[in-house]
Amino acid sequence: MTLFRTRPLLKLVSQYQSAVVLPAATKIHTSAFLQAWKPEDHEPQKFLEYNKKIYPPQSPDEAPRPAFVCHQRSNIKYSPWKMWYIACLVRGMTVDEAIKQLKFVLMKGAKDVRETIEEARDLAVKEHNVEFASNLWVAESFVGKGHVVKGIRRHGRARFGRVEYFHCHYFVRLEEGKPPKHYYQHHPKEPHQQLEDWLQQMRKRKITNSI
Amino acid sequence: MAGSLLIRINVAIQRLELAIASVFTRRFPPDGFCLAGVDVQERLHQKPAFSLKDIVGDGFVWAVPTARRTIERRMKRRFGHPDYIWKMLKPKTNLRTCNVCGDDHLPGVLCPTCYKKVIEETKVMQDAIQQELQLSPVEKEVVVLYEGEKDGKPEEFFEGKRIVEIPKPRPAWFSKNLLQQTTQQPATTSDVKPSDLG
Repeated sequence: MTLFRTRPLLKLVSQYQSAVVLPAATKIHTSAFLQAWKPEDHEPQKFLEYNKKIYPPQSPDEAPRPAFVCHQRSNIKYSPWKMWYIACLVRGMTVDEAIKQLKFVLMKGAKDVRETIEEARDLAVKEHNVEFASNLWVAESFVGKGHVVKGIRRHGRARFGRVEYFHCHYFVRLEEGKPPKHYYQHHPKEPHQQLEDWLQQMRKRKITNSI
Repeated sequence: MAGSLLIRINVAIQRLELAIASVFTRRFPPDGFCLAGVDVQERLHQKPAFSLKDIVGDGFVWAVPTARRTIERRMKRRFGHPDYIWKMLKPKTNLRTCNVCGDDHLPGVLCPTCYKKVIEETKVMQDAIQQELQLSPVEKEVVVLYEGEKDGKPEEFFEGKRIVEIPKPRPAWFSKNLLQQTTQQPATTSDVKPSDLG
């Protein structure tokens, strides 16, 4: 025997549901649940957090911090190891040059990379306080592995093989200003720099146990 | 009585022999009976336990790498070699820019964006001609005119020709001079008429 009647109680709850339950529900962080139920729709979040960071104001004698925009495209149906070649091509180029070169790359992933860079350029002008769209260069360009769908295929003589359908994420960071002359640290040195280094090495020599 | 005693003695001797034999086959004789200077291996441990590996061998570890891939092999696979096949993408330095529309294209090719416009316009002209002529045989010359071009010309101009009209203005890039015939009558005068240069 219940102390309370359940039906009127439920009616009461349903009346106040819209007022009480929903505001509380919206405060619950649901992304963890979504990730658990549908991991293939999960998109990487950490790279875009860089966009939200607010830097403190700079002092006048400090070198001006160039504006940048981080953008990504998730779960592109392409192999991450093949996409890596396209990402490497674009590193250190101006956005105009990057888009122009990507038009002539005969690979499936080049289309997605070009669209991502174009979107990033538009975002930079709209939201990230970049004055000229052409004054941007590709500071970072890299690939991550996305959702993998696994399947089986049959070979001859009743042998079975595993088939994996890869997706990839493409990340790009555009920075304002002119690109550096050499993107990587290990670049061939200028002749005058080589000469200076050689002279330094020659002068560093010492006869052991001498003054 | 003597017979059974003999039998009993025989049996006893046989048992003794078996006992002695078992001492020597299964295990070494006790310390007192062993020869000095000879290693005695006490086979106290049992035979190694039976495992599937004896039958299958290393079958369950097939198709698995046995050694770490060196950095040289990894780099050769990813980058290739500059003298043989360089796997990294190289930016193209031979791209040309179209003077008309500003888009880039490979050398030896008409600007694709401009050419696409030409293809579309050609299709419009062809559709208009097909609609006009349908299946009748082409005996006379066919002239395609855009909006406002028929009124400017006199009636005799189109005497031996079939007219196809397209109800839209002439595209800016489509010069009227392009419609000059390749086979022309020899010139009567040496004056050059600067007409229809559009």
